[in-house]
Amino acid sequence: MKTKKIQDIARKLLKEKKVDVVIGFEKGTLPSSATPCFIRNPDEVDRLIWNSFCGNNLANYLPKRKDKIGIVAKGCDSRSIVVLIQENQIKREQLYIIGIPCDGMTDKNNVLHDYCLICEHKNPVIYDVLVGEKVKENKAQRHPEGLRDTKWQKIEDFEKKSSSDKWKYLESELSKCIRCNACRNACPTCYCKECFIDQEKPRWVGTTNNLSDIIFFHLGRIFHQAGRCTDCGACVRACPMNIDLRQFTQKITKDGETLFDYETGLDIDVKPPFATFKEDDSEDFIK
Amino acid sequence: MKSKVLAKKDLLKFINKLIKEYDVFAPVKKEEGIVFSKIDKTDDMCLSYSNTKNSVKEFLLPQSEKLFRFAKKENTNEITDLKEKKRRSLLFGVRPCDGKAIAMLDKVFLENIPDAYYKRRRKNTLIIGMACDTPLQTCFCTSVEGGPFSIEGLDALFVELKENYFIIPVTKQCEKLFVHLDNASQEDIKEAEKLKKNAEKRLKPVFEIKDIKEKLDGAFDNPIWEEIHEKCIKCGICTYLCPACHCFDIQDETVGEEGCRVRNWDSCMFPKFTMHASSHNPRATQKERWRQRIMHKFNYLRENTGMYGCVGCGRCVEYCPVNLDIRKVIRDILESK
Repeated sequence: MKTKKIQDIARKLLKEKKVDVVIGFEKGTLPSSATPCFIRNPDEVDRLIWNSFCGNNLANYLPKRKDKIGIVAKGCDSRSIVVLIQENQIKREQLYIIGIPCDGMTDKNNVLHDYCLICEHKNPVIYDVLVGEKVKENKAQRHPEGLRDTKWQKIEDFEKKSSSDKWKYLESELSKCIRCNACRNACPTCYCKECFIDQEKPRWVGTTNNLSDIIFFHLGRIFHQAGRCTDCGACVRACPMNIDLRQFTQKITKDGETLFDYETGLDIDVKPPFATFKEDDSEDFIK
Repeated sequence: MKSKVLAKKDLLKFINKLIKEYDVFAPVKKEEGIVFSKIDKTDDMCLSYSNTKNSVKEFLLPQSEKLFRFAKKENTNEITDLKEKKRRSLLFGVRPCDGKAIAMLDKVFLENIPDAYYKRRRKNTLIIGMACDTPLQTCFCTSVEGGPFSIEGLDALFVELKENYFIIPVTKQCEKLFVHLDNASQEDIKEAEKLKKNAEKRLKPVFEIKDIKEKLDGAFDNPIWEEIHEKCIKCGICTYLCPACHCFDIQDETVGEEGCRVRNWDSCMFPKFTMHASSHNPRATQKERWRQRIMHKFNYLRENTGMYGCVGCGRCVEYCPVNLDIRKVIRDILESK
C-alpha cells in the first residue's frame, strides 16, 4: 500500500526533523477527490493518502519557500521540481522528494486524464525515496504507426489548419475564459512575483473581459512556458470553463522537443533552451 | 396573487412569447457546461440542469461594465454617458439559491446609496426561478437560511410537477405574464408542497449557521486562519462563480487621450485586491485574504444587511482546483477553540 508507505516515510522525516513540513494529499470532501495537505506534526501523518485522484501538481507550492520540505511527487510533479531547481526557485537541499511511480490520474468520473494517456515519464525523474516499483514507460507510443493517439497527433492535425482556422479555434476556446487566473495559479512554473497581466506601471493588458485582452494574456502566458511546461495538465484541470489550454501549451512543448531537442524537466544540470544559445539552434521559425 | 399552472407541453410556446418582448436568458448547454446565456429560440434552452456553471449575477453586475466614455478636447474634457438598453431582460430558470443571492445584492446595491448602474439593470430585469428538486452533493442552501423552493429575490417561481409547471407569482411585475393561465388546483398545491418537503429533507444542514456570527466576532486572531488558506492557489474561481460575491475594481481603459471608465469584477483572493498606492498591502498574505472572505460573508454582511454572503449554491466547492471546501472551513472554525 502506497498510502501506508507514504505515511511511514513522512512520520520518520518529521520525527527526525529532517523536514519542517510534508506536502502530500489527504482525502477530499467530495467523493472521488483528494486534496493537497501540509503536515507538520508526526502525529497527523495518518491524514496522508494516495489514490488516482491525487492529480494536483504539488510542485506549485514550492517556489520561494524557505523551509525544508518533504514532497510527494509523481512523474510530472518531479519534472516541474527539476524546472524549479534549474530556475533557482527552490534548492535541491531543501527538498526530500517522496517519488511515486504513477499509473495516471483520473477525473471525478474515474476516467484517465488525456494528458496521462500520452505521458512518457510516469516514474519520477528525481527523488530521494521511491514508493513502490517503477512502472513501464510509454515511450513506444510516440510513433506507433496507424495509431492516432500519438503524443503530437492532436498538434500535428492542428498545424495543418489554415491560419484563419487556427485563429478561429483560438478565439472560440478563449472566449469562454472568465479571467479567474486559475490556469496561471495552478501552474507550478507560473511563479512570477508580479505577472505581466497584473502590472500597472505600465499596463500591458487591458483589465476587462474583452476577447483581445484575454487572448493576449493566454498567448503571453503560454509563450512564457516554452521549454518549461511539463504537460502535467494542472492548467486544464483547474480551468472551470473547460478551455482546451493544452492545445496551445503542447505546441510550445513540441517545438521545444523538435526544434531544440530539449525535453523539459529531466536533468537539473542541463541548461533549458530559454537560458542558453547554440550556434546550430533552429531558426526556421524566424521568418 | 393566486398560484397558476402551465401545462408542460405549453412551456415552449410560453417562452417563445416572452422572447418577443424580452431579452430572455436561460440555461444553455455549451462546451464549457450548462451556462446562463441569452436565447433566441427555445431550442437553445436546456432545462435538465442542476445548476448553471455561471451565476446570474453577471446580468445585473456584469464582469466588465462600461460606466462612461471620456475624451480630452482642446480646452475641455468631454464625458459621454453610455446608452441604456431599451429592451427588458428576463432570466428564466434561476435556481432559488441564485435568487437569494440577488436579494442580497439588492441590499448592497439598492439600499443606502443606490448604485445607478445596478439599479438600472435590476429595474429592467424580471427573474423567474425554477425550484430545485435534484440537489447536488455540493449544495447546501438549507445551511445558510435558504431552501430549494425559496422565493427570495425572485419575481416568480416555477415548480415542475408531473404534468404541469406550478407557478408561484411573487411580485406584481410578473403578474401580467400569467394572467391568461389557469389557477392551480388543490391537488397541484398539494403536489408542490410534497415536492418541497422532500427536497428540503434531502438537504440536511451541514453546519449550524446560528452559531457562526458570534464565533467569528471573537475569531479575528484565531490561529485557525493560519491553516485554512495554506493550499489556496489564489485564483478567482470561487469569487467569480459565486452568485453573491460582488467586489469590483474601477479602471480607466485609455487609448491616447480618450477612453472608457469600466467597472470590473475583482476578487479578495487576488493579492493585489487591497494593494495601496503606497505599495503597502494591509492583507499581505492569503491568511488575511481568507479571513476577510469568511468574515465578509458570514459576519460583516450579516451585520450590515441581515443576510449572509453565501447562499449555498456550492459552485466554489465544486470548482475549486484544490478542493478548499467552504463548508469544511466553516465547520473547522466552529469547532476551533
